[in-house]
Amino acid sequence: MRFSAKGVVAVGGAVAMVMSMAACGGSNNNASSSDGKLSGEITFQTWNLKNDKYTPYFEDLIAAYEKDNPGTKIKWVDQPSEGYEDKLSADAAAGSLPDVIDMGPNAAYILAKAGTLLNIAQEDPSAKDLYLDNAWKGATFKGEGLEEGTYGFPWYLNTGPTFYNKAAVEACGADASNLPTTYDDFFKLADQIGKTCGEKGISMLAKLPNSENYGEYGVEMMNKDRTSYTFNSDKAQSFIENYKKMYDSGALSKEALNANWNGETDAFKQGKVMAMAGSLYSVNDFKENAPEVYKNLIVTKRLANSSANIFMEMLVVNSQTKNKALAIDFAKYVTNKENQVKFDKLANIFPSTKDSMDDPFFKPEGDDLESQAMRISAEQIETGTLWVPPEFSEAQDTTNLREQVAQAIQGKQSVKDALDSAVKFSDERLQQ
Amino acid sequence: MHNQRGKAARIIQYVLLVFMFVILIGPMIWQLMLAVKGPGDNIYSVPPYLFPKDFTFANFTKALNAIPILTYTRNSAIVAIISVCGNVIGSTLAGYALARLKFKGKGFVTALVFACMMIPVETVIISQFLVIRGMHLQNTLLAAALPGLIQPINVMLMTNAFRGVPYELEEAAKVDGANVWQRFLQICVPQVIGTATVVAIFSFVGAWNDFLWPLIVLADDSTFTLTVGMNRLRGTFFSDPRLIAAGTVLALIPIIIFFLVFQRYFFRGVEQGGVKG
Repeated sequence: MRFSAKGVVAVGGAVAMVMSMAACGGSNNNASSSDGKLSGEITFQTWNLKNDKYTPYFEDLIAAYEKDNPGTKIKWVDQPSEGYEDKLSADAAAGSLPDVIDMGPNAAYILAKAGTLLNIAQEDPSAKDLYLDNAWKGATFKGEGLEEGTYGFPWYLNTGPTFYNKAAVEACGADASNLPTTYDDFFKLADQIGKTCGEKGISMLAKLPNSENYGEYGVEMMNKDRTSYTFNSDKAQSFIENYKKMYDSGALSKEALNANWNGETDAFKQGKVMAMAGSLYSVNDFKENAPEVYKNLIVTKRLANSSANIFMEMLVVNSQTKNKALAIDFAKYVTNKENQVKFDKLANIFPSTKDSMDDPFFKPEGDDLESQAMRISAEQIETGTLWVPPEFSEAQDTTNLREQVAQAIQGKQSVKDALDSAVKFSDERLQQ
Repeated sequence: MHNQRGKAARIIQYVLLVFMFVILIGPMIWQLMLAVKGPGDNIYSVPPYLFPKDFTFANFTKALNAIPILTYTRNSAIVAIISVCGNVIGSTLAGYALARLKFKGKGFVTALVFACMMIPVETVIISQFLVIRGMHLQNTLLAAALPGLIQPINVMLMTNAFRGVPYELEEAAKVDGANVWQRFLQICVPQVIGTATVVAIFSFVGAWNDFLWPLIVLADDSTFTLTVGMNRLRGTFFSDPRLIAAGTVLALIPIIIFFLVFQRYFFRGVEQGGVKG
């Protein structure tokens, strides 16, 4: 749920206009003294991380930094999970963004395009060597009206296994010891057992493809120049056709077509769903909140023909910060190897820094579900890809694509028409 | 025969009442029961069950420890009180002026108030924020209440209410030598208390439930209102539905107290408002 921020469309649209006005306010970056010693105060904003579990980590992190850099002060603020993109948009428009901000690449792309983020590749070229290539690439944007650059430090990464519910698997008549880990095999299985599942009221999947799933199936989302989208290819069509077949046989949950429905996890916890992509921390969620399903849980590699998807969170630096040196240094400090690994252990997520996965935490020996899920996820961090293009906005492009696809799956339009019209919609947004 | 029909009608009446009761109260009961379910309860069981097997109050303590609900409630109450005062006083004054006074541009002002009602908040929220920032009020509770201080819909309600007051009353007072303020305060306002109560309820509920604007204008958790702050009960990566339920139940308590205390005024007000409006 962390990675599914919604944005109010109207607000998003208004920002671009107002932002150009706000950007005119001159800024003064001379707060730190000339000998390179850091001083002054900045504001650091996280997203829904202030609670009894993570607060001590951030307080220690900041205290240690202020101790090492006397004369600096970091003010930590945290925003609630709901409406985060709206909040960022309003702050960007009013020129009141904090100095260092936690956000995903999609939000960062919009703000970078509006000129409100620092290009880290330019400000601190050496930073590139500290982070995993795929993470650094994921923070590197280019596009219409946007100078190619890396608009933030990569922070934590996330990926996870596919979870199967053994009881559901067996009810549908599949072999629980030989479950598919690629989309091709999964769809083959769906051809065999989809009907049985549907008749028993079990969904093989309870979700329409997300934007990252296209890449995992092997669809190229964009052309090389990143000037237009390509997810209406034959490959993409066959992907959706397979979903349609599942829907027709009753093996794809009907609720999945409803854009406002986010009950996939709930349905899985009720035992009505056979397979679901999850995160490492989902194992704990099942253990605490759905013990019935936990008893039946099987973890496998994330369904993918190509490579598994990785989500990334970034720390960006406001281009109008009054204290650029301190803001960059602090963002780099939070995202350094040691601090990332410490945070990952707390939250069951992964570091974006190089050579960080050797820590024994990421290589557990045990045979329990947690350890299995960790080994699978850790391997995916090293081989995975950030499939969602930063240009592809959650609020608009993803929503539009899902709506088009939902209509195609119901048979109200052809799959080709649906994908063509989604590409057209998103291409137009890209040119803006 | 007549008696029989009366009985049948009564039964239908009660069936409908029970139906309404279930629809209105059902979700709240569900939420309350979810809040007292312990780790031993399977909250995703099929079919779902209402009463906890592993009864506990621990979720309430957890919610109270996780977020400062009292601070948030106080903040929400302050915003709601400012909003209620602003709306009741402001729209009563404006409503009287629009209904009873003669002045240049009255038609234009009335049209303007109407037009304001049609503007969706989302389209002006950023410019509102820029204004508040220009006033250096961001991150204050006053800022959270300010844009809704006098709602056009309330002005319209009050205008209508004043229009319903018989002219004769005011004229008689005029003959007795009452000036505009006296006629307003002593003759007309007592006639529209009902509608004013409706305005008070609307603005209280509106301010209490508002989310997007407080989220944008409030910057840190010392000033968060309940709706914004409650969001922090959602886990960073996954949530415990029992904890969220406990939080919402706690947040409901002030509203329920508010309603119980003022209940009789509400219904008196709504009745009057209905007859007059």
